[in-house]
Amino acid sequence: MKEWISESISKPWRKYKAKLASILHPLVHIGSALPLLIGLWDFWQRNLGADPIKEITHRTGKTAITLLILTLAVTPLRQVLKWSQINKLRRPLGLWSAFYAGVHFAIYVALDFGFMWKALLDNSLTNWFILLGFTAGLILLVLSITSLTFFLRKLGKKWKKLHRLVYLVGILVAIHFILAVKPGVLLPWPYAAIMGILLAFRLPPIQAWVKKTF
Amino acid sequence: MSKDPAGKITPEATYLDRKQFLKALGVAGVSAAVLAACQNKPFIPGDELQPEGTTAGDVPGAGAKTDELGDPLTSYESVTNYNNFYEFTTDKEGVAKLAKDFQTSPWEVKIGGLVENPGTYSLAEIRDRYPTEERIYRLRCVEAWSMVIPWQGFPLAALLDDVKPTSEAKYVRFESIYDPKALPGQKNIFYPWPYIEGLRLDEAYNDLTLLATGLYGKDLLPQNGAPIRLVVPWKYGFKSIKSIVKIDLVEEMPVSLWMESGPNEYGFYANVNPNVDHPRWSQATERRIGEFSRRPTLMFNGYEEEVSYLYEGMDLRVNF
Repeated sequence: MKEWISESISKPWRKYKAKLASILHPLVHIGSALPLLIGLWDFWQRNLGADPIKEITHRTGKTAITLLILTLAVTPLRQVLKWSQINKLRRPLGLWSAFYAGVHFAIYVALDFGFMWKALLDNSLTNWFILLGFTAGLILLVLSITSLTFFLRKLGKKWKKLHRLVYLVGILVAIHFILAVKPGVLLPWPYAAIMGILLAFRLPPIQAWVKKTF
Repeated sequence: MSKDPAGKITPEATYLDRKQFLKALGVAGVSAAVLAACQNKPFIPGDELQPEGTTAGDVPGAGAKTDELGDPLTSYESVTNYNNFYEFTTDKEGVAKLAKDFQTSPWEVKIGGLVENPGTYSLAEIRDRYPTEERIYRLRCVEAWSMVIPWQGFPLAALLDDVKPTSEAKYVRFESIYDPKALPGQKNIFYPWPYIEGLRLDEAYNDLTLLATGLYGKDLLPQNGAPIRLVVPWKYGFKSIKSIVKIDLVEEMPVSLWMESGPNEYGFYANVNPNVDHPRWSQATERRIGEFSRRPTLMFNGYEEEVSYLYEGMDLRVNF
């Protein structure tokens, strides 16, 4: 089976995977910018519904978690498809995810609560899901800053360890999403399930199997 | 839209002053009618702001563009397109489309349980028997958004007077329609359909408690709970059960769909209370649909004078 698969796809695949990765690179930026542009257009057209602040909060949150999922999908794809060139998509995807997380946070503080600090603290400190989201956002900020090549060189081996925190971010945002909706609302579960699969992929036994098989 | 959201925040003190100021205005303007309301006549929101010269006999609140606190009505567009009606979908802005072809005629409401006069009534019979009046109420969702809606309805008390609860009756239990073919959200197996809600008998008899058949002067649209729904303005919106097919007088406290789905999050009383937070979010503030900044949430959604007697001596943190 394995031989058959590799026989039938490996030839053209070997030829085109470098090219495909270089096509995907600009597409990552275009695709990641689209939700922002659509959001601004809908704002301009007054097309954000009855509660626009809620709408843009949800949109930016969903975009951030989607891009985080894509970021975490890069390594499994690289390993399974032996596609080393795809690795260069990881940083832009991660940075775009952090960007939307930042906008999501800014909307919450500046628009949703309009800098009403007392109400904001009251709502944030008593609520697990806000605290989880905030923690995830802080980690993403640190990871974004240290994603600069300067820090990659400076931190050396520590960089890899530090950036494994993205797994923790994945867990935190999945719980953040689940706790933000009412019981029985199923919207977060597909996101959480995919996140769970991608994180499970990192577990040592699965990694051992992957390295042996692919 | 303000560039300075912080500048739009109204401090709570200002709010209360404004409320008192408007009340004073109302008293000066309507005099006798409101004085009567302060004594024994049930309070009807909306009538305080009637222009001078109207009489107590006018339909209360008819033509008023604000609630009794001076806040404007939420647009018809928002009221009919932003709906929590999980029988259709959990997406608030998807309900109107899915509910478009929902058949609300013919419709019957079965009234029974611990009553002397049980019966099944068609909606036409109910409409004939109980003339509606306009009531402008605030609706505060447990999700911390709110609206001001002009309902057409009649007090539930009028219907209760006719069916005559027996002395054993302690609660009213309401049931929504169950028809997964017409209401696709009922295929969601995570909820114990049909939708059930309940009121204590004295809550049900309170004059604010309304059975509504219309809003904005028109018949209810399916997304708003057509053809007949409950409106209990001092409680979170989910208590105001939609598309009612059954009303029973019972002895035991009914278990609502939300109590069963999230017992630590949704209690029987579900009174709007800025001091008792939902386990996962604060209830201290809310956003009025159509407004930019949040505003403080009022105790009992601003109906404290009318309903606080119902809960004297009760710990509202325990009875959330």
